[in-house]
Amino acid sequence: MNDDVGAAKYQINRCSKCGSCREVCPVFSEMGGEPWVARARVQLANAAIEGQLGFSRRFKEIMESCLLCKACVTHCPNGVRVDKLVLWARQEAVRKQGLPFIKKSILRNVLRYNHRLELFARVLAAYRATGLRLSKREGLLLPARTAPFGRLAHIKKLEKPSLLVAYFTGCMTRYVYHQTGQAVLDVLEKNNVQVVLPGQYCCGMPALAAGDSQTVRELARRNVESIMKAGVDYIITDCATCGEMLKNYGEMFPEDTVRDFSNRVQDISFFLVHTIGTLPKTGELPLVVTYHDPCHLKRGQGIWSEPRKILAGIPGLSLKEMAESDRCCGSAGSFGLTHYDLSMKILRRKIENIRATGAQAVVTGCPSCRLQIEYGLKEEGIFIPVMHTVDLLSQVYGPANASLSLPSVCQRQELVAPTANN
Amino acid sequence: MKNLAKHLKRILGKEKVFHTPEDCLCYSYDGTFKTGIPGVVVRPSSTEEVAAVVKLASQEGIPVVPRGAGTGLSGGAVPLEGSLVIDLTAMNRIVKIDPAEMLAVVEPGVITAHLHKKVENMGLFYPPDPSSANVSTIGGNIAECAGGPRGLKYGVTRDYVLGLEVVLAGGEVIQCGGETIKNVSGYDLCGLFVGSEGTLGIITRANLRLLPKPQARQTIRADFKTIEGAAGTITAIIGAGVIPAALELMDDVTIRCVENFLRTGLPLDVEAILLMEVDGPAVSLPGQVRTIAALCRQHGAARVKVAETEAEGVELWRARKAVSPAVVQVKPTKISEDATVPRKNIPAMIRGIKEIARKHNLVIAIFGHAGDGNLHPNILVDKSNPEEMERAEAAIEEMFRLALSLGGTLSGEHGIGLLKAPFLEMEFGRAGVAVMRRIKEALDPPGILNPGKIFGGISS
Ligand SMILES: Cc1cc2nc3c(=O)[nH]c(=O)nc-3n(C[C@H](O)[C@H](O)[C@H](O)COP(=O)(O)OP(=O)(O)OC[C@H]3O[C@@H](n4cnc5c(N)ncnc54)[C@H](O)[C@@H]3O)c2cc1C
Ligand code: SF4
Ligand code: SF4
Repeated sequence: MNDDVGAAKYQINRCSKCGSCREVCPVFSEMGGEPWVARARVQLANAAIEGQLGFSRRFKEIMESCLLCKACVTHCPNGVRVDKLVLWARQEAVRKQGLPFIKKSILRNVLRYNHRLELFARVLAAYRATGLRLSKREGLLLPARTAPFGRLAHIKKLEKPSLLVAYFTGCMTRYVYHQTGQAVLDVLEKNNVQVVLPGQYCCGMPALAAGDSQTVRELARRNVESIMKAGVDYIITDCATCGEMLKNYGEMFPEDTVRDFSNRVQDISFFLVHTIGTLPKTGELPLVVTYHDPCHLKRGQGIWSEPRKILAGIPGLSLKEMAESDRCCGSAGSFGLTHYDLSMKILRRKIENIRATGAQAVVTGCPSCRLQIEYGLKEEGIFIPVMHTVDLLSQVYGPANASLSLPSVCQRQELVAPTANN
Repeated sequence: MKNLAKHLKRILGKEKVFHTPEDCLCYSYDGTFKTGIPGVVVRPSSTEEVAAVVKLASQEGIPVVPRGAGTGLSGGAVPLEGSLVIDLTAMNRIVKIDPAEMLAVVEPGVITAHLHKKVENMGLFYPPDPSSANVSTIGGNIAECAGGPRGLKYGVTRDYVLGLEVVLAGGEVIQCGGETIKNVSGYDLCGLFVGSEGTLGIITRANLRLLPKPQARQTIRADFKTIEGAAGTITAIIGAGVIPAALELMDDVTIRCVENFLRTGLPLDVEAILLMEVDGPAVSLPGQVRTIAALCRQHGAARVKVAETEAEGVELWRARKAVSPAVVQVKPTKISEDATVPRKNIPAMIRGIKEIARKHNLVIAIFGHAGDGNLHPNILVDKSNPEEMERAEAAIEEMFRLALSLGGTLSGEHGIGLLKAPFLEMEFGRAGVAVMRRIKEALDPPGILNPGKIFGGISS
């Protein structure tokens, strides 16, 4: 029994088959049958270990339909790490059968090389510009920029900074949401934190989710090497997924430097609330917002009160909680592309919960969720902006005590509902 | 099996029939450690579809296993190898709620908590509340006659079933009972199907009785140095005419597990904690609470806490709700028993179980619905340790004997299923079980409905 199998067995043995996960698994609640619930994934993993079942098409289909949202993990009375079992199963399938050609090409040939990722983004942007739209699910690919954020960013050198941090931009901010990147820089500058942008690569989550442990290892190695060279106090992320992934490097590759790296990673909201502590006063913003908890932020990193504290600190702003604010939006990386219909069903419930609040804007802590929710709102004809917590914060940091309004914030943020250019 | 699947697909459409090894494996278990892999699974969405499936199965002589959420704790939904599983969770409509008649009409796949929520929003109340209510189905509740903490005051599922629609072994559909509280036309077939564990027919619709929602509730916790003190308090409270809506007990082993897990400052020098909830018109609560608190003190309670606010009530219940996750920190596998004894014999039962635990060198956490004598001794083991599992099996048999010798029953609410089938005769004797068998044979001559459950005899 190798280590991985031993670890998987440990998780499997903790499952009492109580079925409690039927209450929370978003995939199960759309699909209905037992195979789609966490409990079944645990038992399937067990059957695979015991040699009762092979890594058949159906087996992989069931394992691939997991969002890795961890709703089951937090809810499970025994804390069974179903997400880890699913990842184990995917990894085993890849180890035994190799990656499907397309996935392999993207994971191994694009993700590992920034210039290729950039090219990929550029092709996407050019293609978008033509206005062509081959299939509905492309709405999810959204407005890729031609140049990565890092190259455009202008970072001020501070006189006497209190801390030195590396900003890990993440692919979404790098290629899609430049304004969030700018917001992070502004907010950090405002808090007298010196930012550097060392060379960086994809965090590796897409590869991990696809079971490609080889690529994960390679990306982790490159990120740790490049960022640790910068000698920073902390590594800041604005992407919930990247944040969780970087924090997990230490456990996945238990070497001293890697652990040290992981220990320095902080989500921007956590960093502001805990590491910085007292935040500068903000302007007033009379706005009703609702907040969506990204899976990888709340359950992945235990961060849910921090963004709410930040919102509570903005005078005039009120937070109207949506029902099931921590239920997955269905995005889950490329899940929306590979499982379009299922992802949309899960998203619809999120959009309904948002609609019911009557909020004027949606705030969230992950660019992937943002993209997904923007898409869902647009599909439902609800034209309210979706923004990252720091997007909002950077705007109200503006001139002290200035009264801001939704349109002004939206304009400055390019947050008006996405126009129909795609 | 291929042929059967083809037939089934013709009846139901191919999206409701599943037969890959992977799908079948996912229907091979319930909330116990037993397994059996079915040959095919269907998810019908109407009574007609269920009837057509059962009819086909009876013609082909294929065993049929009805299934709800698969949370059963006696192996009732664990299929016979190669059988046909009917997953009833696609039939999940609440057909109607009639506040004037205090009646709910539901399909079997409705999740218990969904019904709770829906009726409570209308000021109504469906009392049966198994701890699994957030996922269990009404069909499964009826088939097991599920209970829960409210059993003492409000009774169990049986007390709320007014009428049923049932698909019989040959595929015929019958109605039993009706929509009224009073109904004595002919035999009480409803009563027969409640708790029949899917061995007599498949429930496809239920008329359920509702009550008005109690206006208010309040929680009290009392800690006792001895089990006898706690047990004496229970009988005294009921003797005084106060019937708590919940009366839960945790023994010292359980308390230690929970405290290790939660660290909320539970007392570690007591043998039992009682958690009680009273409900009713708001004006009636202070009197009930005073009586209970006084009786707890009279019986030597080391501490009595009364929740003054809703939040304090939630905090007191937190310890009880954490029992399941807390006990599995000790050992990964928990075998949850539910032997039940008359209230007055609770101390003897608990002492006896502790003796059994010592003898077999096992950790047994005892908690449960003490108000109605329905304790849940949970044996904490590691199922990958066969030697320990053997000791656990021996202990279980001794616990059953003990419960019966104290005037109790093998199962208060989890049912006989596969796990307790070998012991049924111990409780009712050969003649008693023979009567049950004759009923089974009369209703299911080909013997296709959930074979092996209750009566055993088929190894799975
Ligand atoms: C954590 C946990 C806590 C629990 N707490 C309690 C508790 O407090 N009180 C309690 O009583 N039980 C409790 N249980 C046991 C279990 O939840 C109940 O027995 C419940 O009623 C089972 O419902 P189900 O839908 O899961 O049925 P299943 O497990 O799917 O099936 C149970 C039995 O019913 C039969 N069946 C299911 N649907 C139908 C139908 N439509 N027609 C005919 N037969 C059918 C099956 O064949 C099987 O024999 C608990 C279980 C767990 C895992
Ligand atoms: S909630 Fe946890 S223990 Fe229960 S069935 Fe699901 S994974 Fe297993
Ligand atoms: S991680 Fe999410 S999608 Fe996957 S089994 Fe758990 S609850 Fe379901």
